[in-house]
Amino acid sequence: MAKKVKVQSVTDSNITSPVVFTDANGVAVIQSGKTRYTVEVKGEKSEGAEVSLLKDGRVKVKFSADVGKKNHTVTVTDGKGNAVEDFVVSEDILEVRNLKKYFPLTRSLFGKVLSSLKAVDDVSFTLEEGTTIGVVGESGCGKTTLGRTILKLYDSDGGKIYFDGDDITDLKRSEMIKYRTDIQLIFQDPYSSLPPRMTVGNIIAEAVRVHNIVPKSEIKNYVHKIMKQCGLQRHYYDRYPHEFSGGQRQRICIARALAVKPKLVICDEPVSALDVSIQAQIINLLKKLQKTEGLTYVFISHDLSVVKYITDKIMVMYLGNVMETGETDEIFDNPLHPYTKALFSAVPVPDPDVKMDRIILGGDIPSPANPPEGCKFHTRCNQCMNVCKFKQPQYIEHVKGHFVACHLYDEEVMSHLDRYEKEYRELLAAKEQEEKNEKEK
Amino acid sequence: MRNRNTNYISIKESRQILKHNIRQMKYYEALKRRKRNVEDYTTTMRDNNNVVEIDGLKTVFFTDNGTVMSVNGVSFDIPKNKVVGVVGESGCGKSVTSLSIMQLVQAPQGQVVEGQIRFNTDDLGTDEQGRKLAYDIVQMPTSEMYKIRGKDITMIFQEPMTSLNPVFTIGNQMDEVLFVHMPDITAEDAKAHSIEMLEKVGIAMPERVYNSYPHELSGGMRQRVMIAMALSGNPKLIIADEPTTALDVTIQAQILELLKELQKSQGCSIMLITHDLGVIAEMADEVVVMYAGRVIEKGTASDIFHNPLHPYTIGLQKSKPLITSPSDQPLFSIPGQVPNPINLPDCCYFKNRCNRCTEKCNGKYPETVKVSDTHYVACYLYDQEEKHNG
Repeated sequence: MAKKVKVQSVTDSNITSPVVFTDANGVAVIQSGKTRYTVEVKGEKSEGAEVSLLKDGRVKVKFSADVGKKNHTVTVTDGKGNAVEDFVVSEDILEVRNLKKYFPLTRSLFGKVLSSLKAVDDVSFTLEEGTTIGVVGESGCGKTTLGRTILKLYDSDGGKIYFDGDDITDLKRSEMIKYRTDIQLIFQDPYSSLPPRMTVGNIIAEAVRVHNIVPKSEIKNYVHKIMKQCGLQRHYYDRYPHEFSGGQRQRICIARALAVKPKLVICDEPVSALDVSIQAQIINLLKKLQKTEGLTYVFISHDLSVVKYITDKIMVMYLGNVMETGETDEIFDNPLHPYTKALFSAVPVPDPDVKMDRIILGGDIPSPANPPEGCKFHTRCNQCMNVCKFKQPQYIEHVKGHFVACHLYDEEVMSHLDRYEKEYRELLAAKEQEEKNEKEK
Repeated sequence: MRNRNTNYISIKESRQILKHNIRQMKYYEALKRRKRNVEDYTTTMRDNNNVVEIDGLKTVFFTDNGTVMSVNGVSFDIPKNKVVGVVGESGCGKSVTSLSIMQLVQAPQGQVVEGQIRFNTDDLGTDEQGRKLAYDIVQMPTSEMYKIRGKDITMIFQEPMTSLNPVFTIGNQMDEVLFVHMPDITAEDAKAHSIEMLEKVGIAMPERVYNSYPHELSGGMRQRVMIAMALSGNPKLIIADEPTTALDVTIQAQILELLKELQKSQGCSIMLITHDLGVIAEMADEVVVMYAGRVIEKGTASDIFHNPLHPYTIGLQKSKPLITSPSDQPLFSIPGQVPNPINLPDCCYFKNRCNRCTEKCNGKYPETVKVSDTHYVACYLYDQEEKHNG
């Protein structure tokens, strides 16, 4: 696999013109109809900011996650030298580059790791502020581990995590406290993620108190405000979690996460434990909060219809690898990877007359401790070729922003199939020879 | 500030509830212990083509907070060779209904207090009018129920992880079904039959699975083993209680396909309990929608999905996001929550959440209205319409 993969963020479908980047002096020029805008960025690292035009004609300046928009000032002037005030400054709030998380399985006598479970293997993505990325996949594909590694609840084994202009990959626990208010987590199970001995008010206020979000005297009012925002009634303040139903508990979890004014919320299957009618309420709440608070979500889920509804961008994972990423609409309209296709066709449609051409995957997901060689999906793939059995596929940008890791879309591989066939046979022969030799011994 | 409709009860009330519960539980347990002849629990089927007819079933739980009417007058039929889907949110009584059919309700606090469950059996023959004689499962002694349970009526549970015994091999557990129901069978025959069943449910190496323990198998495989076990007695009815909820989408598709195939080839009926409308649409011929222990709508699959009548059914369908639905509008959601099942008032339970609630809804619980030959709904909206037409 290519080592330096940088997945371009193109979530904003409002962008019309080609994108330009600022030069070494922090200056970029962009043409909008008859007007020629000059964008000047001043700050620590002014080079390489992404400048584009939105559909409504405004200029948009976007910083990447390792630069960040803080410590930078942007001025935009039009062709006549007048300053323009109506422009958008945005940033990629999160960037993950080649992230790896291996769990050791066996160790030698002196503690050297002999074999490990590759829960997250070489995952890269960027996430612009105010948008949502959906992480989908079957159980055991590493989506929860990814979420927790971003939060630094697990230490990563390689790769970089940039958050809001800072590199947070190698921070110690004590240094991480600063970022804890910015990144929050909503858990799957609202029954086990709330402390049973604390009242709702205390649960929400605890982190507010620890991080000094508001002065002590205003905490109660602040909590009431947050509770109202999340659709919880005022008199719930003194109640205990066991008095609430699943949907209400999930609202409490959301209120707890929101109380510290986060920028990024990682939602780890927030609605899968809820009933359909309650699920819709929670999804609407999450969407509403994103609009009003400008939140960014990493939405981890296995329910594709919910993911389709809430996300801007999707990442399909299988056994720790990313199989396909791209904008939600693009992926749902035009799924490329055989796994994505099978995943989409497996979702039952609530209409008895719709008979889908279902692609049924044979077998189970292989154990992540012992993943197949080559393309990890080849054991269950219905379009598997011999190349897939020994060569890991590269990321191919099929359409702009739509990446897929599959040999079927790799022109280089597809045009030299006979050469790879030969290679595969040679490999097989070598293996057989080895086995023979061992037997003879 | 505390309002009365919460869970708080005084000590005096609590004592009263306890006394009442003990009295009730003793009464129903005594009823179960009394001696019964075959005639006492024999009735006649209304329609010979049904496997099971449930009529006015009431199952209650005597809890410390009061009596919970889990199943409150549920009636529906399960025809031969059909898949009947039961949908509803958690706590609506769909699982308790199925447990009542199996006589597996947690006693003594859970009791079937009213109603009939008629099971169509070949053992008893027919009466003078040609109607088949049937067992009434509610009145049946447990010793007799053993002969039906696991043979004629079998069950597939939600969690394949916990419903297999971890200390016995798969083969051991599968053979047990045969030894119980066919005492003459030899060990070799049992093994052969079990392996044949494992093969039938699409397990690649049945011999190896036969000798392995449950923890060695994946979730999908375990669920296949459960299905094999359920099929091995050649049942008339399989109750599948959320068979795919704990599984991934791709495995769910495999299992549903398998169930559909087996239902056709074996010619049995399936009662499919789930909260996923998609699964119901795919599998079921007839659909029963439940809410707070009552059947609020029932009909064929196309009745329910193309012409839903009850506001709850409509809301349930609208609130599920579809892969094809646009994502820019807010999702339709039913406000509020399922009511507290203790001391429900005698009126429509859905009225507080309903968007088409009228004054009439404050009255008694609505009668079931027949809309067409197959379609029934319990809502005042359609009651009025009928009167207008008549």
